[in-house]
Amino acid sequence: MRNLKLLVIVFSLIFLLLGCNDQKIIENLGFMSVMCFDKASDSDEEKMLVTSTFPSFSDESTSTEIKLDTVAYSKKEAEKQLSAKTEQQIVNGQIRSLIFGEEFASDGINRIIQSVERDREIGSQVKVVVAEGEASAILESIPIESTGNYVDKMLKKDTDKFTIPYADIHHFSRDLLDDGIDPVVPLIGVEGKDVVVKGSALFRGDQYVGNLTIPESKILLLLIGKVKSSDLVVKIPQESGYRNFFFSYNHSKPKVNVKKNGAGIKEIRIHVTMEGALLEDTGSHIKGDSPTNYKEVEKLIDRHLTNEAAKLIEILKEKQADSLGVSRIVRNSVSYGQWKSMKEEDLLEKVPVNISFNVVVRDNGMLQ
Amino acid sequence: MIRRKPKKLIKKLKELNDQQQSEPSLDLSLYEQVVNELEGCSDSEDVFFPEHHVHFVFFNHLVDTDRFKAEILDPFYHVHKEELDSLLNRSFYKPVTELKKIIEGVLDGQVAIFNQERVFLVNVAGPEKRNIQPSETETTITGPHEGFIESGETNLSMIRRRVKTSRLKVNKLPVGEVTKTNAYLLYIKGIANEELVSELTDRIERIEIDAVYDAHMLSQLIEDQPNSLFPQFIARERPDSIAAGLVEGKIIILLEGSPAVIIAPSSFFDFFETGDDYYQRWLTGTATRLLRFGAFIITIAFTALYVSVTSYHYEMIPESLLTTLAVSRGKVPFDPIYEALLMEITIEFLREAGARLPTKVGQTIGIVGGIVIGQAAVQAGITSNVLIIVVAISAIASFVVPSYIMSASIRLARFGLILLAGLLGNLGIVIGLTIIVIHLSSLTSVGAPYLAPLSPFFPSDWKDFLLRAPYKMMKSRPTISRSPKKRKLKE
Repeated sequence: MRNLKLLVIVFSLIFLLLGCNDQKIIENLGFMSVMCFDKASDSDEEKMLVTSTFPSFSDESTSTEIKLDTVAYSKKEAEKQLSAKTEQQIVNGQIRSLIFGEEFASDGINRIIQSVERDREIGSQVKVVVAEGEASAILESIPIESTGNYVDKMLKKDTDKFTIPYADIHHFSRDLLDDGIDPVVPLIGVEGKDVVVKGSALFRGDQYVGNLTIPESKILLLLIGKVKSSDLVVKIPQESGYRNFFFSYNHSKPKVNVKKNGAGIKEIRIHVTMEGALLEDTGSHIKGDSPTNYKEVEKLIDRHLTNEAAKLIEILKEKQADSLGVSRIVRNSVSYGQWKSMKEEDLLEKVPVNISFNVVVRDNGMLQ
Repeated sequence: MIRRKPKKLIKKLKELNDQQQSEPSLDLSLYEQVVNELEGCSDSEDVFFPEHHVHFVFFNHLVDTDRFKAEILDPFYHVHKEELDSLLNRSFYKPVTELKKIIEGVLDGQVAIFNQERVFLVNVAGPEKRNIQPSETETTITGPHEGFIESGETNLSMIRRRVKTSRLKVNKLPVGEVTKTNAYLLYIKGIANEELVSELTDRIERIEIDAVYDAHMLSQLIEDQPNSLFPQFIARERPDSIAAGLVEGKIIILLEGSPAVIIAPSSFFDFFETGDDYYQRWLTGTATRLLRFGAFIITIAFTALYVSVTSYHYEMIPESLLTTLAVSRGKVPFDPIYEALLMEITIEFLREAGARLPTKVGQTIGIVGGIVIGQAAVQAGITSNVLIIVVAISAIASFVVPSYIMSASIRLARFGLILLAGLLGNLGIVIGLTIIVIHLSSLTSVGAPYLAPLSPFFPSDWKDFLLRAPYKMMKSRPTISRSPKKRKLKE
C-alpha cells in the first residue's frame, strides 16, 4: 500500500511538472557570448543596433563563429529577430559581456541592464563594458573564434591587476540605484587592428559622460578601496628629461575622514597608505637598500600621486560623475534627515576633497 | 512480502513431525528401518562384519576415507569378539536410539554402527570441498587473504580461530523444508544484543521455503523490507571482517554451502567499507573511504547530469566546455536521453556478458567493447565522445563500490535518475535523489536505521564512517548493534 502511494505521488509529480519542460538541446542552440549595443543609424531615437556572435556546430570537429546584427526597440525583440536569422535557437545563458557603444551609452543603458537582470538564464556576473566609438567594431577586431571569452579574459586580467574597475551587472545596478555614487565601468577600444583596454568609462546615472585613462583609473581605484597588488609607472620631470619609477605595491588602503563645521560639511579627507617595492628607477641614486635612502623617492611619488588625484577630482567634477562616491561618503557621516535636506547633485561640486598619500617603499626588488 | 509461518503453527508442525518420526514400528529393528529409509539411495553403503555382527551404514562420499579406515575399520579388524563392548563404550561412539537422529547423522556424514539392538554414530565426516582460497569478490591488498568456502564447518573454524572466546555462541538452525540446510547464528554473549539474537533466530525459524542455497538468498528472506532495491544485510566473504563484526556486537549468520556470511544489523555505509580501510594507515584509510563515497555520487548521478545539462541547462557549464560538448554532439541524431540510455545499456550488456563468459572467451568482450563500441560508435556518429567518457567514468565508479550487490542496486537506481533527468532536467535529478534519500532513510536493518550514523545522527559513530579514525579514538561499538556493552575494553 505504501509503495503504491509513493508511486502515485511520483507519477503525479512527473505529470504535473511536465509543463515545466523547457528543453534546450545544446547542439541546436546558438549561445550568444557577447551582445553589442549601438545607436541605429535610423532616425528613430529609440532604435538600437544589436550585434552578437555565437558558435555554429555544423561541422563535426570544429565550430565556427557566426556574427549577426539586427535593429530593434528592445533587447528581447532583438533576440527574437536574431533567432529568426538562423537555424539555431538563440539563447543568452552564456553571455559574458555587454558592450555598449559610446553614443548609445550616453543616452542611458538602464533599459538594457534591467532587461538583463530580469532574465533568469543570465547570471549577475555578466560584465558591462563601454566601447570607444562603435561597439560592433570590437567584434570585427577580435582575432579568435570565441569573442565573448576573449573580451571576458581581457577584462579579467586587467581588473585582477586593479588597472580598470570591475563592473558586472550587479555592481552596475547597485551603484546606479544607490544614493550618492555613480557607476564606473571598463572602457575598451580599437587601435589599429587590435582591441585594447583604454581605461574606465564614467557614468552619471545610467548615462555615459566621459572617460579616464588607465593611469587615472588606477588612482581612482586607489581612492575607492583596498588594492591588493598592482603597479604604477611614475614619470617625474627633471632638469634633463624624466625620471621614471616603477612602483609595484602589494597593499594599499584608503582612509576616509569627513571634517564638519557645525551642521555643514567642511571637507573630505582621503588618506591612502601604500606599501610596495621600487622595481625600476632610471635616476637611481640609491646605494644599497637602506630605508633612509627611500625617503626621497617616497616623497617624489607622494607628490606625484597627490597631484594626479587632484586632477582626477577635477575631471569628475567637470563631468559631474560621482564615481568616487563623494556624496555617499557624506551620506554615511550624517543623519538621514540631514541627508534628505542636502542636494545630492551639488555635493560633488561643493564639498572639497583633500587627498594625501603615504607611500612606503619596502625594498627595491631582488638585488643579488 | 515473503510469507512466514506463524510461530504457533511451526510448533505444531514440529510436534507433528516428531510424532511421525518417533512412531515406533515395532516389528522392525532400527537397522531395518534405516535400510528402508535409505532404500533407493544407491550411493549409500552398508558394510557388514559377520564376525562381530556389525553393520556400518554411511555415505562413502560424505566421510573422510582415511579417518574412516583409521578410526573405524582398523579397530574393528583387530578387535576380538570379547573386546567389542569396551570398544563401543568409548565416548567416540555416540549411542543413539531415534531413527530420525540416525538418518540425520548419516546424511551429515557420520557412520552409523549397528550392533544387535545398539546403534552408534561416529563422526568421520569429511566430504570433498575446495581449499581455502582468497575470496574472488572481496579481495584485499593488505590484510588476510583467506576467504570463506562452501563448507560451514571450515568457515566456523576460520571464525573460531580468530575469536578465541567461549562467549562466542553458535546456534544451529536448519532452513528449508526439503534441504534442511544448516544456518549458524553466531554472536558473542555479553557484547551482542540478546533481543536481536532472538529476533533473528525467530525470523530464520519462520522462513517458509523449500530450499536455501546461498546466504544472499537467506538474507532476502529475513530482511525488514524484502521489496526494497537496497540490500539491508551485508554479506562478506572474509573471516577477518566477520570477526570484526562479532566484536562490534553484530550477529553473524553463516549458511552451509555458501561462502558469503551475513552481518546483521548493517547500515548503508557498511557497504562502502573494506578490510583495507582498517589495515592501512588511518589517513590513507580515510582518503580511500572518501574516494568511495565520491564514486557513489558519480555512479548514481554523473550520466544523469550529462543528460540534464545537454538537454536543459546549457548555462551551467563554462563556454569552452560547452563548445566541446556541442561539437561532439553535432553529428549525433538522437536526443541526449536516448543516446545516454543506449550507451548505458550497452555497458550493462558488456558487464553482464563479461561476468558470465568463461575467461578464455572473456577477452573477446574487452576487444569488442573497447574498440568496436567505443571507437566505432563515435566515428559512425551514433554517440558523442564526451558521453563515452561520462559512461565509462560512471561504470568505473560503480565498481569502486566494494559490495557487488550494492553496486548493482545503485546502477539500477541510476537508470531511474537518467530517465528523470531526460524528462525534467536538474529538477528531475533532484526529485530522483530525494526519493532515494527518503527511501533509504525509511529502511531498517533488524530495526536499526539504515542511514545511521548520518541520520539519525550518532556522533560517536562518525569515527568510523566518513573517517576511519585512529584506533585509539575508536572506543565504542557502533550504536546500531545496540550492544549492552557499548564501551570497548572497559568492563
